Amino acid sequence: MAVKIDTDVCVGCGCCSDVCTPGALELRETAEVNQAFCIECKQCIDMCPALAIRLPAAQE
Amino acid sequence: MTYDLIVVGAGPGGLLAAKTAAEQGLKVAVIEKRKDISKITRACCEQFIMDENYSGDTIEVLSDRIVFTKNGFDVSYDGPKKDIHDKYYISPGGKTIHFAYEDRRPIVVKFDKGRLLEGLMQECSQAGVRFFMGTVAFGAGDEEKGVEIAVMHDGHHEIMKARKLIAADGVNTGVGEALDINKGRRYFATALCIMYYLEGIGVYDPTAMKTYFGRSYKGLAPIMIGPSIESEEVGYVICTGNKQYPPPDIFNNVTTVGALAPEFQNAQLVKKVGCSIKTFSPLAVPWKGNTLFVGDAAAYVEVETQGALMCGYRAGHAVAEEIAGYGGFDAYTRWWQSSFEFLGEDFMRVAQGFALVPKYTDEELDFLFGLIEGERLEGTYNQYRSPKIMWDALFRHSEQIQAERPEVYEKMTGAQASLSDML
Repeated sequence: MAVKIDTDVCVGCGCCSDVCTPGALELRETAEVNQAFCIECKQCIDMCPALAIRLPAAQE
Repeated sequence: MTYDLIVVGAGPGGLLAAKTAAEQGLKVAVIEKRKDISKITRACCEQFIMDENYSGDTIEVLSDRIVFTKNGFDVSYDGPKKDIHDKYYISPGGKTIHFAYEDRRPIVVKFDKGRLLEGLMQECSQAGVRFFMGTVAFGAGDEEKGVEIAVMHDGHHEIMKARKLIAADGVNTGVGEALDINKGRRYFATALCIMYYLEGIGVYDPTAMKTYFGRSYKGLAPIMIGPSIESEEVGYVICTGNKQYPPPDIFNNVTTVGALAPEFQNAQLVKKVGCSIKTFSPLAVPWKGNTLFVGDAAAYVEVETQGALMCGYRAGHAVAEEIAGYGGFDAYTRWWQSSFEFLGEDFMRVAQGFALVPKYTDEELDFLFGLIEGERLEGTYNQYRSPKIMWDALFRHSEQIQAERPEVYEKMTGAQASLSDML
């Protein structure tokens, strides 16, 4: 599993990828997760000013 | 392929560093996570600050370029500009403190940052810099012979190599984290920020910056409203919060239940940009091994666009000199330490106060702001000098404060008091 990004809420600032140590986040119009690399460390969740990132409900 | 220099981050600092180093004959590559740098989606500095000797330089804004008179270089820019002459601090009851220069020269000049960056990128390309856009640098290793940078592009991981590395990747420097540069720095807090651009804000003034202090506005930090470069009608509102009280909640409260809510009744949202800021004490020595940390990556919060340009210009030369064996990194360090205010102890004492919960009630802020309403305080953008100037002005009324409001005077002069508590 991996974090999920709400693309309607994401402002595309890219601060999530600043702190993504495994290199799982890319920036296009909004942030995008590459599931294969996400380690669910949740650092990106704490960094998002728009509250656009979460772990799927079952894992919270 | 091993480059002489890899620059991570195509902001003003990274681009000018890349251009300057390439002009010195180095083989340079720039890694940038964004595909199109002309579209700004991060809340950032989009104004030139006209204070004299700001970060060690006085700039001149001409029709086709920005001149750095002391550092001795200039940067092409012929895009739109907008002069801002007035700055207001406003209390909950509307008492207003006014900052402006006596001769009405601008405090700041807004500009189109996307256009500035595009211009710099073109100059870089002409100088032979290679660009890797849409590429995230997420890891780095530094050994005696050079640096290795782990990058992500279109879902693939790769390694790039260079003799020297410039980390111009901003306030949350991932390169710095990978190279353990933050270990010796003091961590303060992570601020979450969203800048909302709206058309039709009631209190919007296209030539002034306004900051609203006090609990009744429902912010966490003071609420800032100011002009955009995009059009005469569009202004911004900056909502700065934290994990407990994040920007979307602040914006909702400010615009629907706070004291400014009526001013937003007819406002239409145009766009949003954001930024989260991991706040560390600045790096006194902004290099380690083969890596030089420039601009916000080494700063307390930010160096602003003009500071980043100065860092970039100096850093480009520093790398060329370092490779040639002339101690360029040490020379850069001496310049860095003598130029930026946040490297002084006094600054940190004041700046840390920005995160404090205000200790004055709304009514007390009305009383204090009312004392100096109608005076003109010296125009400055400087976030350190502004509260100092305000504080000095208030203390010119200390007899009146003592007589009428001894409990307020007690707060202003008590053992715990510092000017930062006001903010």
